[in-house]
Amino acid sequence: MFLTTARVRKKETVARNCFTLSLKEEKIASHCTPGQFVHVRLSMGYDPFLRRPFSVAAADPAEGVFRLLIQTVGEGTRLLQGIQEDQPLDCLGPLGSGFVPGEAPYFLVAGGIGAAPLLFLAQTLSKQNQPVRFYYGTASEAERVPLHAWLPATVEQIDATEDGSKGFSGRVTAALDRDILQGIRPGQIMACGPEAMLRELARLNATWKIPMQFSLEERMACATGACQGCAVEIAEEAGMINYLRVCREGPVFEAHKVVEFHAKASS
Amino acid sequence: MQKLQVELGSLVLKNPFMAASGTFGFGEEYANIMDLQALGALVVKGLTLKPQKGNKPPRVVETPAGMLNAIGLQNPGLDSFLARELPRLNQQEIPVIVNINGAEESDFVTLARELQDVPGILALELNVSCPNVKEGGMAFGTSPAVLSSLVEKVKRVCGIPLIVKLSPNVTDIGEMARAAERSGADILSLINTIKGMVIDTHTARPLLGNLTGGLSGPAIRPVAVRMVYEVFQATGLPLIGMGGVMSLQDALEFFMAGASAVAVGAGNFVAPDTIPRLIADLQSYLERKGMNSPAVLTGLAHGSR
Ligand SMILES: Cc1cc2nc3c(=O)[nH]c(=O)nc-3n(C[C@H](O)[C@H](O)[C@H](O)COP(=O)(O)OP(=O)(O)OC[C@H]3O[C@@H](n4cnc5c(N)ncnc54)[C@H](O)[C@@H]3O)c2cc1C
Ligand SMILES: Cc1cc2nc3c(=O)[nH]c(=O)nc-3n(C[C@H](O)[C@H](O)[C@H](O)COP(=O)(O)O)c2cc1C
Ligand code: FES
Repeated sequence: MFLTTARVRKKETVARNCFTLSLKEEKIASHCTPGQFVHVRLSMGYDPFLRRPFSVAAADPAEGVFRLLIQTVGEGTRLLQGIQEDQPLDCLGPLGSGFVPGEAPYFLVAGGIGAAPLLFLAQTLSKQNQPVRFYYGTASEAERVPLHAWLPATVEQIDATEDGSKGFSGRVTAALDRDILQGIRPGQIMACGPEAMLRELARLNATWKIPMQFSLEERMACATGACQGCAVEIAEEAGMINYLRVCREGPVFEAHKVVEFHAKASS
Repeated sequence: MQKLQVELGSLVLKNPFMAASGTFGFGEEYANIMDLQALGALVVKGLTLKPQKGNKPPRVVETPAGMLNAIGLQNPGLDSFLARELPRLNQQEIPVIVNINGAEESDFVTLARELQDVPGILALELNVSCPNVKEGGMAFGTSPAVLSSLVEKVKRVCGIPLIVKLSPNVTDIGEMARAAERSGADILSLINTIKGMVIDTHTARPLLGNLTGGLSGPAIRPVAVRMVYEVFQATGLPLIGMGGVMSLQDALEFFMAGASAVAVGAGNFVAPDTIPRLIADLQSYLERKGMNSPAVLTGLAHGSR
């Protein structure tokens, strides 16, 4: 974990309300692993007061550059969208515990901006010659980030939109379910996206029974593990249920241990 | 080099800046970013006899110039603290103050008895002001009689400096300070968080899992400074001031209001290098002003009383 100042190399709008930042910061770029995030200070004043967490979406240690993929949702992300090339950005990171290797083939399931950590994961897995399918769901085509700029050619991309404007018509989870029913089975699923998507994956996995990891979000203050603010209920070994920290033990957890999804999925 | 050492009665700190309880965990988290030995003191997360699970999430929410938290004193409990956390802190020679909590008087007394002769603990801070737990917590810090009885009992078993952390959620904080002083407190620290609430307008429900939380950060600083000022007049005890400190300017307000030391809480989350920066800035401030000790600043705002 480093407290450092990154420089904005490049800012690009990539979809409706969605932009990327390429940040020059060698220490973060060379130490981050897929699923980890950075905690970014957006104002030197008190508004907004707290930092904001964003997943690392790509890293190039040789260049000393890492990238963020950000959706503008509120005051903080709006401020960040206004940042100019060459400006400094106060970053704390890399933080958290990322994805853990499983069994190939890997199916990555992204809902909307949840694509961010999975893009980094897809790049890393591809470098290790692991077979990857990337399921990418959005509400409509306008929200879609052109992933071909991020994904290696060997990664097979499966598109889904809820309004049918691109690819499979319906939820990304339904696209995955269709494939699994047809016998296209992963050894490991890694997912990040809205709560409803993760909940549906947990429900479907009662039938699939495939090892699955989720990258979770929770409101954060310190993002280092010091404040216990980002607690999520996790069923640990021996049936113990404890609050773990999304910023420290997470953000990636084994799906079946996330009590919230598990309980509601099986009820 | 100016000497930054301060003395709060028999508690001697190498500089007047401490990490406030609950905002620095047990030190481990920030070890990569700063030299923890440089801290005046590290006040560890609120400790209870038995492990505490903590409150239902969400536990934190941002507010204007601050935040609400409702952690609910999640901590590993006394045994685990002694077996795992304290040895590591001692090995790194970090000056430790333990913040103790309980649902009943006997919990505080047991904790104080068990901890007071453990090597490597500088002082105990009695947390009678946590707004986020159902039992105990703030209830001990809002009635002078209840506070007196508790402080007296803890003091009887505690051979190291006893700090009583006051709640701002009272009408007259001077009265609480006097009650603590009469009953044997050695030092007072203030303020703990101010009870507050945020409503999620989408769900039309309070946002925090605990419904209410404690407000901290720059938003509470003027309240905290006023209370330090009042308590300085109400008692003769050394004071540790806190509430929204992020810069030397903020810290100076607390010193001048009457504090001998200053703690940083939520500021650590925003700028994890706040405390090392305060130490360096105070150093050059004292040099510039030709002052020979931070103690010179304490209570300046009261003029020649
Ligand atoms: C580990 C992690 C990784 C993330 N990665 C990305 C990413 O790669 N790209 C991206 O666009 N977004 C990501 N997010 C979500 C992002 O942090 C929020 O969208 C952002 O904080 C919103 O800030 P705001 O001021 O614009 O919105 P506001 O709604 O005004 O924020 C108010 C407060 O709520 C918190 N908050 C709001 N939404 C979320 C959320 N979904 N999760 C956690 N806290 C939230 C904010 O941090 C802030 O404290 C991630 C969140 C987490 C926890
Ligand atoms: C996340 C969080 C957890 C806290 N936990 C404790 C605690 O366990 N015991 C305690 O006495 N005070 C606790 N506090 C209060 C702080 O120590 C401090 O009194 C208060 O936050 C005011 O200082 P600040 O504005 O600098 O944060 C906590 C504060 C925060 C923000
Ligand atoms: S945000 Fe502080 S522990 Fe995770």
